[in-house]
Amino acid sequence: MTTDAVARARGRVGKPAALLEVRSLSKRFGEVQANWDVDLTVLPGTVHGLIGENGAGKSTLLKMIYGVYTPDEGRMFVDGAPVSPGSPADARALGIGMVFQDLRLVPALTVAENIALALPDGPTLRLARLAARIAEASEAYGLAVDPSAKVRHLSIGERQRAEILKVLMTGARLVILDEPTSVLAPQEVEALFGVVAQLRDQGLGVVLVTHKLGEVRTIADQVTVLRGGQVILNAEDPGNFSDAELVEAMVGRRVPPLAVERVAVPPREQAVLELQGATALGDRGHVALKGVDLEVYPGELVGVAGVAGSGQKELCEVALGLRPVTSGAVRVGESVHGLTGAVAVPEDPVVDSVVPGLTVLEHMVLDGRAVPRRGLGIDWPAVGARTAVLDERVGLHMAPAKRTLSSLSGGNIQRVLLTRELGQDASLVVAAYPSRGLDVANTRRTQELLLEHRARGAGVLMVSEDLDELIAVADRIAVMHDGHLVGVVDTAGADRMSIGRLMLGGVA
Amino acid sequence: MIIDILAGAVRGGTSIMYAGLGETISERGGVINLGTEGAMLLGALGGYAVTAETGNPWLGVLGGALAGALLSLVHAVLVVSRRANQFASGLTLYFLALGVTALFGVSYVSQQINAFTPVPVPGLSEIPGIGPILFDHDPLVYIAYVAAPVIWWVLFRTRVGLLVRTAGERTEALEVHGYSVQAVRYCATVAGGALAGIGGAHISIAYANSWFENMIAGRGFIAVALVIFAMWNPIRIMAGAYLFGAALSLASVLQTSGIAVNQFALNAVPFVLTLVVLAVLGRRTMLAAPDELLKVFDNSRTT
Repeated sequence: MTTDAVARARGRVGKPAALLEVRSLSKRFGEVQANWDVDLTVLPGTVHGLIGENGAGKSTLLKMIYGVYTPDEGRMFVDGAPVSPGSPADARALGIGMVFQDLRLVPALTVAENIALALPDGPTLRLARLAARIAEASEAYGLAVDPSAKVRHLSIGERQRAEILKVLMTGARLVILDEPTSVLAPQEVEALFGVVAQLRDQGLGVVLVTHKLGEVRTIADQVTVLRGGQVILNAEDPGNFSDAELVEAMVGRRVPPLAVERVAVPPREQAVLELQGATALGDRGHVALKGVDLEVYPGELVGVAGVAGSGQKELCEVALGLRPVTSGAVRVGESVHGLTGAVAVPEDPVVDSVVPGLTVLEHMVLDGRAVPRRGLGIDWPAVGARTAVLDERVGLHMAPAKRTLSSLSGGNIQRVLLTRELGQDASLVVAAYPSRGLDVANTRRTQELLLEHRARGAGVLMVSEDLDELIAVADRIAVMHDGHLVGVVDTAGADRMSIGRLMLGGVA
Repeated sequence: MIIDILAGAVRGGTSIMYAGLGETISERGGVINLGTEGAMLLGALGGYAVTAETGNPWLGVLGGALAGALLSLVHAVLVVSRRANQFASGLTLYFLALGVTALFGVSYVSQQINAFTPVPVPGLSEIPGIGPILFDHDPLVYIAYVAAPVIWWVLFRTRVGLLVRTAGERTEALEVHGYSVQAVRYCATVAGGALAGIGGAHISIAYANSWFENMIAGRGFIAVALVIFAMWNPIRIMAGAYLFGAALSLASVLQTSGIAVNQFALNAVPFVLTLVVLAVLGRRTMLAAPDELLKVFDNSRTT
């Protein structure tokens, strides 16, 4: 089929039967109205962009469509017939397929075995016959994968193709892609969109959940913006909207752009962080960091780009002395401009720096700084006062001091750690995915905080999977691939595609 | 004497193989059962008691399997439903089984039973060397020859096996396709316990032909260690089990041929062998471990 078919599908006389029609869906969790009166229509042969901040109700909506949650109110129709999927299996039987952000593949199994898991197909696996079917489907949808490869050995982009193929082979006509591009290099995003376009041309419906507005404009035929559980905007041809308009719909107010004017990077003196041939093992005992040379100088912000799992985590841990190097050297500058020490936000705060049972206030004294004392104990009122001042100055609005961290969402936990770490002076700042889980306004504030550190003369090392974010804030971008540092690019004049080539292991 | 040792290796390794195969299924499904030793003890007593009461060793095998399955069912309730610590539950169940079998086994000590006897395979058992080593044994030895490849096939070539492996690798993937992780883990753990029970029954009604307290003497723990260095592969379990069988039979052959070696030192050989193999392989084998099982080992994670 070609675009003609799409045109026909769209231009059909009268009302075309929607693949999926959601009417007045509402869902409440305790005090939180997660979805309120949500409408969504996906026509065959179209791509529907669904955007909204964290907590806007996107995943609640998807989970109701996919049968994980039951709506409190509202109706759903597939091909015009009323449905109420009670489980993911029900939803799949209706032709609804979901590609989760963290994928649901088993790394130790082959692609074919993973697909077999999804296909109820007799008591034995008959892998040869399955491989032939996979090859056929790969061909039909333009999704190249090797059925006999173990998922563990595939790149993120290949895994995603395998997952999409799995969903299609189970008979999905509506494919929901949950934040599919957040972990991909630009080239892989292009390839994915090629596949999405092909699915659309074959008359399937695609729901693309993303927070990257440019992507919605590029590929989507329709856009729905959720905020606070409600539909704020539903329109055709999102290309007609500007970033500012879509952000305003998402956030509810204008978010001023990041100031472009920066203090110039001071002339290079003593580096605050110097890695020479740093090599280190990962958690599974494999070599995860391979001979990395990198310096971070005072007053500069060095971004680290790379496909997830390319050694970024080990790089940060080596820089902070949390992971020993097996060879090479790590040097940390003693003090610059009167600043000393390092502050850090780890890649996975819940695992690495949160004590779930302690309160926000208690976390504020867990950073090794001097603590106000009263007798032998801690002067909690003084800590409370100090924390209130800190929260005000940092401006990320932490959760109430008495809440335990185990009761907070990922974004709120991130804000507690960011406030504690970025709220104090240091000569070296290491931030891994600092804006993970944050909404647009807090992401912007976090970027400002990192730039403030830079302006005060600290060296900042920042890992992000969002190239646009790195290009917006970093002075230089170090690109990692498979544990190697494959290139350091000056952000001025950097182009996304050449950084993408480096991320994929090629040469710029 | 070499032939005696090798024939003894096959005979003595069989019980370890059954238990190792069972533990492989259980661990592939994400559950470590240190109670394997206990399941073998219960299997040994259950098998012996049923054989003594009915006079039929085949019913004894069934009794042993049920006894082993029962203990593992308790383990499954604790670790799957109640999410208890797998090591604590397994060890406690071992001590429970040790006490229970000592208590209820008293009346069977020195009682005679109609035990399994060697059934030479016509023709094959005549082959010099190979015949006596492989084809002059009790029926459970022959069944074990088939069991290892069959279990390999079930694990790696059938849907049931795929579900078991997924339960041990990534439970989310199982849930998303509408399967119950708990059900799969229950089945894998109980099947593992039944096989350990058969291994125990082999000791009492085919190998020693008697019942005495603590007669498994650590074979269950060896089987658990064997699973790790066989990298969760049934075919390697087979090879490893016979290696330990050889270590066991070396002791008894030397003893019967009158060579003076300290008995306690000989009894320690299989365990020293286990330690040596673990030390040589280090954490390398752990790369083959099911991911969810690794979380049980990894005390830096909370789940």
